[in-house]
Amino acid sequence: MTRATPAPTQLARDEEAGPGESGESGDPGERRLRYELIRQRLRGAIVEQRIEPGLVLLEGPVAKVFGTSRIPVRKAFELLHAEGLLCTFDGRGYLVARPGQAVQPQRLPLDARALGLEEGNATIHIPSESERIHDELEQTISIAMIFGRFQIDESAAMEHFNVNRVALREVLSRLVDRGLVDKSTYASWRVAALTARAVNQDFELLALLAPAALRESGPRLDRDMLADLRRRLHAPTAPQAQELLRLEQHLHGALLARHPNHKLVGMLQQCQMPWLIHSTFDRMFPQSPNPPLLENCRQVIDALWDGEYERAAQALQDYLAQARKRAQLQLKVLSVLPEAQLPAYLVRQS
Amino acid sequence: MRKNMPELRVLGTSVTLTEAMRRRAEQDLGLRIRFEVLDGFDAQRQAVMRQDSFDLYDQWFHSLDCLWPTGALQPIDIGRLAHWDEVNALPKTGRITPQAALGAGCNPAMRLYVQADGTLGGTPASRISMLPLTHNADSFVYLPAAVPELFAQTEESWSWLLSPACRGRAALQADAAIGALDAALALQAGGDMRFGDISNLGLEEIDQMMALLLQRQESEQFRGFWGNYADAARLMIDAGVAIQSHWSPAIAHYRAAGLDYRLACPREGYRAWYGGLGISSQARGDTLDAAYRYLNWWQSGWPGAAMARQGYYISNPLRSREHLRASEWDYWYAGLPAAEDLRGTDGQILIPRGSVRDGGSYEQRLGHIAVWNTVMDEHNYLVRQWATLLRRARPL
Repeated sequence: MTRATPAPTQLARDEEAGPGESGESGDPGERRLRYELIRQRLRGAIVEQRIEPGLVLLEGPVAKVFGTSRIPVRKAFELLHAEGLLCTFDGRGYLVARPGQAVQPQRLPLDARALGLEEGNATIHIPSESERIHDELEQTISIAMIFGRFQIDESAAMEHFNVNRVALREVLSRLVDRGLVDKSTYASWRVAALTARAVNQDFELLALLAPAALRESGPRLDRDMLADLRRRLHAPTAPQAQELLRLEQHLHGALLARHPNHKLVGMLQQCQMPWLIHSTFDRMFPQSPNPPLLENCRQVIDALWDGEYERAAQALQDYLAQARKRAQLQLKVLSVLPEAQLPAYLVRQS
Repeated sequence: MRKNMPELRVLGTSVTLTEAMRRRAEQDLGLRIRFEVLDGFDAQRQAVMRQDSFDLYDQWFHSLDCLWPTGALQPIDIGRLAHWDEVNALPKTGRITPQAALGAGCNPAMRLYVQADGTLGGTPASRISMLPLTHNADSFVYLPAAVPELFAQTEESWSWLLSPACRGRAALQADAAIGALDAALALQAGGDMRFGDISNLGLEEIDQMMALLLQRQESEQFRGFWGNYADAARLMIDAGVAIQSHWSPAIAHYRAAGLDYRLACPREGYRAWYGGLGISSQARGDTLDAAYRYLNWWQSGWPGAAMARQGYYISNPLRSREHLRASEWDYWYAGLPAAEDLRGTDGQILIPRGSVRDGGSYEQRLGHIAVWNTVMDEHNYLVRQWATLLRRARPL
């Protein structure tokens, strides 16, 4: 049996590898490489004389400034050296100098300012392949689940996103953790259908676990965060739908996340169906009169602020009961939405 | 008519938005009235997604489950309704008589009153969601001569819709809140399935039902799925359909085409529905005043009589009785044999002398409800699965 040649999209893209292996064929905006960014920033600073001539550049400290490993820094130095902007000298590192330029080596502390960069903004962040596609895939799946049962065609998804299988599976696994995708052994990835049963199951889990988690998590919460939440909930003008949605998400995210049992927190974070319905509904009908859950939210936060964690847990229980009724009503409304145009990697099952 | 009078835009279906009703309302009220007529599901979708496109929503109570949470409608003040006290027990209590079966599913009484928290419920309050108006107990229509070996049975049954004897000659209403219930009633009546609650199917029940219906589809049981009574009539008159879901105004077409049709009184009970008028949440000032006048006009007698002549009941029937001949009242409401030929809304003879309405009187028919048209808990899932059936259907 001959081994199949991997398709270009299946090739691993080690951004820190040399140009020949770096998979630079994609969108230049998306595919920028760390060493290239470092080279560009240093080059600009040297050309514009924001770096003192003769400064000694060392891989380790420069990597620290950029928040990367030493490998891309080393490659950037090599390229700048080849371009004639850095020189080697009798010592470790490179000198900021052109060939033949007589300069004294300046061994200064290497921070953002010394490198001619804006302080606090020097760190570079390049999303990984999986980070790059996560949001779009999550958004698409959140929409698809309204319209029934779908299987995810891995090959088509890899082609659609121009990523390899490893990166795609990493994202899908994260979506499994959040309850948006199902996967059983040997079975294909499937979009979890948004159903009344799934919503009710999430609320059953939340009702059992969330108040208990809040009792434990409550004493560990940051007072500044609670003060901010109280201020927003008690603002003279009631929060708009989107703001209230964010505040409600806090009830299930940040407020419970301080529980020391990470397995428990993970289970709670899997209960995403209620928020999917609520956020979809709010996006579609921003003017809709929500049943008044604002007061329920206030009661939870006020009790936490007062340090009365039992009262907070009870208020959370009441809030969940109301939120469950609301989700059941909202789910029915979604039945009128015309079916969205979905990408080819989502294959309808019927 | 003054040119600066507000124009009322009424969104609904062809069963109540007839040209005769529009002209009479304009004449009686001195208003400009525009009807936007769509199939039921499309009207519901438009009301939800284009909330500025209408002033009045003329539709079914079960569709409130999709409208009310979005804020598309505003509560109706009972104090501004001229004939509220005349509205009978059915929409207020859910039963036409205290002894009548409640019927499963979206009973209008459970979504009539606006509760203190803004949601809908059955506890009486000073504000309502929609003004209850037209309603009926529906079943199916069939041509006795088309499949005599089946249709000669003494008791009519929903199971006939799925009988192999009707292969290629059956049709269903296309809205999942209606047609899927006809299909469920048929599957249950034929012994193919037994539902825990036919008005609130579980996921497995929906999957099993759809698998069975897709099998029937593959064996070409269904000639089509229709969205309005005109399409239904065409299927039966021109496309060889012998049995299908029924909407009452279609009988005028059947009669005009000379079809020897029969309306079933299924032993399993009727599928009931309740219609009414809701006011857009955006209606204000003169438009709102005009909307209330239009609501009160609907209960003023003549409209209810016009609806009776196409087979529909009105929520305050006694006022409409004054606008009906005794023979018309006796046939349509009392379940008595027609004492003379009765004319339909178009003035043509619709009911020959001696005919008796299927199921009997108003109280008998509305007391024999198997299920109401329904938006169930898993309605979104049902709609998406039902769409697969529609996608594979033959074009009308």
